[in-house]
Amino acid sequence: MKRQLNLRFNRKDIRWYLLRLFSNLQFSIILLLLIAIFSTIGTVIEQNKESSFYQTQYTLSNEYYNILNWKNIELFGFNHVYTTWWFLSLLFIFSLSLFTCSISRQIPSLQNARRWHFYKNPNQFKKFTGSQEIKTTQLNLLASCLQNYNYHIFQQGKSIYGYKGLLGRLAPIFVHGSIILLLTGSVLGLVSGFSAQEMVPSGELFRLQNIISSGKFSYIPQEFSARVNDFNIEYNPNKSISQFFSDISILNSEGKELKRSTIYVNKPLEFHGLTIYQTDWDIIAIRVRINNGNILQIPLKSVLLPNNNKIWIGVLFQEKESQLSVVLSDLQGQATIYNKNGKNILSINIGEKYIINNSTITFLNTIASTGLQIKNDPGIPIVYASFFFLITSISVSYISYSQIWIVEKNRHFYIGGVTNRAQLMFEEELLKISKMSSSI
Amino acid sequence: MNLEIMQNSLVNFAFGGLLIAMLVYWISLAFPGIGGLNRLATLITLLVNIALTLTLSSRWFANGYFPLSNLYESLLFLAWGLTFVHLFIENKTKSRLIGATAIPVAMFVTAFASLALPLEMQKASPLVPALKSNWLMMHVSIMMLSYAILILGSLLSILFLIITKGKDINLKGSSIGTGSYKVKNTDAKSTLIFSSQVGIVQEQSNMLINSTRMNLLESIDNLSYRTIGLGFPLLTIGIIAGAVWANEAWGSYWSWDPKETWALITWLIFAAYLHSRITKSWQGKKPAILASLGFLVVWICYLGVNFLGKGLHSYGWLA
Repeated sequence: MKRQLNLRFNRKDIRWYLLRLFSNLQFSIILLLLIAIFSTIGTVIEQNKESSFYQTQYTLSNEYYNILNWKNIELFGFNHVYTTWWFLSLLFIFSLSLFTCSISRQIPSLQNARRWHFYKNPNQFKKFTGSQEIKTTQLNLLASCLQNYNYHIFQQGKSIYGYKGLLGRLAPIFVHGSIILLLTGSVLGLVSGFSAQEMVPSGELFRLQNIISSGKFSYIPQEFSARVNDFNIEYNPNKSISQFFSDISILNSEGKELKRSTIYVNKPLEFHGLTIYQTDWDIIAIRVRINNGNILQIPLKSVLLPNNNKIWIGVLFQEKESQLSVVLSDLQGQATIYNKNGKNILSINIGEKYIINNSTITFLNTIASTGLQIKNDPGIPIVYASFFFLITSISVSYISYSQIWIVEKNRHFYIGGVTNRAQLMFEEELLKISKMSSSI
Repeated sequence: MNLEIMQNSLVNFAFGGLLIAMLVYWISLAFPGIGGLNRLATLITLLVNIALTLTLSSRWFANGYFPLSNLYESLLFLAWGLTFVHLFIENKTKSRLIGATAIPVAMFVTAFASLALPLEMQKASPLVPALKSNWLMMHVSIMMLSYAILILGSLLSILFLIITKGKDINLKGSSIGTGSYKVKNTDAKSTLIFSSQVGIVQEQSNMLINSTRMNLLESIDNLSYRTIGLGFPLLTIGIIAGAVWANEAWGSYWSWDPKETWALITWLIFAAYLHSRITKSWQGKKPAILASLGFLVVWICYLGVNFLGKGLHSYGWLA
């Protein structure tokens, strides 16, 4: 079973050499550990930020040990580790290694397992751990004991061979197979899927415009259009957010509704391979009526406070002396008016009338937009199928494959065997079988 | 209010119980002659497990969602998992070593939850939108259970490394199943000290002769291997459940979020460990070293990533 990691080219054929290397177990272990080590980089260095971020966070300095500066980060692609050429090649080599290992090692070793044989000589039992010699028993007694422990048994003269847990030997092949399937599915999704993000004000139509990722073979349906009928937020009694709801209608080219559904986080909308997710939200404007006259729409801008809370600010009066701003912190129907010195002068309820600066202002309503992600991933069925196979096969792999041999020589009975995983349990089982057969 | 007081006293009982159980396990290791100690420690652990079950289920009942929404609850669940898995393995193997190694960890986890965490973080708060799903129960509970099992399995490997410190060892019981390795340096001294602790019936019956059994070291090694072998499929199922959930909540089954990445790293380390068991060039201590590394990685994955405070998984922590 052992194959030395041989770094010399002792064969001329480099393909043969690579095949040997890829199916080498030590090579795969090192590969696993390498992927693990490189993966940690992306959890330490922030990923996919703008280059100005790295220039301020990882400044160049004269100290010679300052390896982690922004130039090196950009050179090695540490700002997007999981999509760098070297990480992807590592994953590619990993899948090649999985494939060659399954073909060149696992399947042949399975064929070996199918060829069962008998032992004739008690001396051969010495190599087993936990082998025993039993004085007082019968061969057929031992055979029935083995059957009690769910062994499949074969007898030839004074020798018995029994095995169980063959599934545990088969399953690792399927584990490897399902991981290959998983990687295939994710590559398919990468090259033929796409993902778009749209911020849509409540009541408006949207199409697939802001594509954030797509592959070479992606098809983005241009005729797709949908409408956000409504967006609202449900709050908990302590004012924290309970859930976001977007009421969405999918429309055909004539504007006829094809499907309507209210989505929220954890309940996306599925339509012809497209999935629409609730991902973000924003408040874009507040509508007011001044002195029973025109309705004004005051645009709001979001500001991130140092404590990570978001507020929305709009300007109510622009005149220098009497500048007033309206500030919202959520969609719960309240707002605050601040004067030009930043002093809180009035808390208001949206929907009510107030007299501010000698004019009557009615705060009619707020206009929110919903952040939607629209995704198409043709790889999903394959990935989910691989998930299913992986869960099944990896669980079955826990089963230990055990083989037992028994031989009778000069009224002495020798029992011994091997198992590939549960050594401890197997020895106990051997002991129990010996005891059971000798006490009847 | 009453429920809160009850939960508090139950957690305090769990902490005290684990402290006593740990001491009893250690005394029983130091003085194998004193009978009944082991059974006493097991009984205390069982009571602690019941107390934790009551705490968690009363929180579930009171808050209306599965009690795994913040750090406090997840620590208690980890302690519950550790004691549960410990009782299960102890019942299967009758080994006292597992208690002596597992209970201290469970005790520290409980102590951290009830003493180190501020009261504000112990309170249940409403679930954030992303957690409002039935996958919460499925994904988080399986992940926590797999952490508990992997922690126990890798602890046994650490114990193995401590016992074999400075010795060259060649083990039987590899997973290739040839079983033909000879013990190079039979560890006479530690076998003498610990052999009575391995609960497997060591007596030789009259009818059986010439039995070559595993020694203590080999059985610790194999126990560690089997425990990790049980935790690994659970970790896989947990990650996959998380991937399916992420595809429903975040729009992608894998987004290289720090927590996801560390779960993958944990998975890779233990995958490497399981493979190192079937190659001869990695026989002896090397797999155990990998498993001990896995111990560290599980903790980074479980707590360390959240201390960074980055990524999508930062629930139930101080803002």
